[in-house]
Amino acid sequence: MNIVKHGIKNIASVSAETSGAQWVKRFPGSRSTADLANPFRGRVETFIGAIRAAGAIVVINGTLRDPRRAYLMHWSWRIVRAHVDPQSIPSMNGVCINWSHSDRSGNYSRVASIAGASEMVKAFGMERLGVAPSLTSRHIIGSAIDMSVSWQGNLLIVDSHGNTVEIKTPPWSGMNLQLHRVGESYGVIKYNRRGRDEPHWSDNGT
Amino acid sequence: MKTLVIVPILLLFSCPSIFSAEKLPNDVRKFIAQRDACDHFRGELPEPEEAERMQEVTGQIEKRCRGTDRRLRLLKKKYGSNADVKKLLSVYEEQIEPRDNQR
Repeated sequence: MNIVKHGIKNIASVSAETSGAQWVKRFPGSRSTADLANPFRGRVETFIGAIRAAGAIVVINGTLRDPRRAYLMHWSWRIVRAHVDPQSIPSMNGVCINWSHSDRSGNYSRVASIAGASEMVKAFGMERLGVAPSLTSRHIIGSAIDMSVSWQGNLLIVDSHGNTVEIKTPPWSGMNLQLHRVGESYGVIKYNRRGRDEPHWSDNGT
Repeated sequence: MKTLVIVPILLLFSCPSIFSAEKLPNDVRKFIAQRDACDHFRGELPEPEEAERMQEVTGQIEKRCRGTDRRLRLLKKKYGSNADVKKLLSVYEEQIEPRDNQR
């Protein structure tokens, strides 16, 4: 696990707020290209500019994601589904959460601790998720964007070399292979590993 | 002409990963492709209100991730004496599935 990279330390929190559903809305993801890391940001903005100039519609669904959100998702899921001891969860800089709840007598309560994590799993929409969410992604380092692209008819789009590319074949969406080649010319690479991830573009195709 | 000869030789020594990837055992190569996709989708979980995207991502996770803990364990055992394979497999989390759900 890559927990050290994100500043997670094994420090017990004393005055931290206990886990629960209230944590889920605290570290929302961004939909702004301004939050992407350079040079990817500039490449994305130029590519999107070219798509829009060609008359296509671009809707951005996600850019930068907060590692603290990934931390909360990962460890709440692990407590509930992988039966990890709530008292053993590493802390993370910037997240003053206490995974370990106490009962009225001030003693550790495993039941209450799991209930707090369960609230989070439910609020994150992960009740049916069969594996632990990842602590890392291209979004977390500002090198990925989720966007939907659509147009009607032929699309005349300029690539980064200044060549006008005419896209005449379907699909009329971000899954169009010619559009992928145009994206590549700008350094914006469509997801190219196994599985279908329609809105996902990044700096390296992952 | 001299450049034509030197460039491929330089590439051969500067890109060892290109050549070592071809030498990987099939089962390891397949596992890495599947698990990389699994790890990608594990990092794509959207905000909870994006129901459609959540369904897409969890569907891919279910398809790509299930059983990979067990396969990783078996591959590590099988190639325990192969340093190159061991190094490649060492980057993956050993447990991403619930223990009671592993096959």
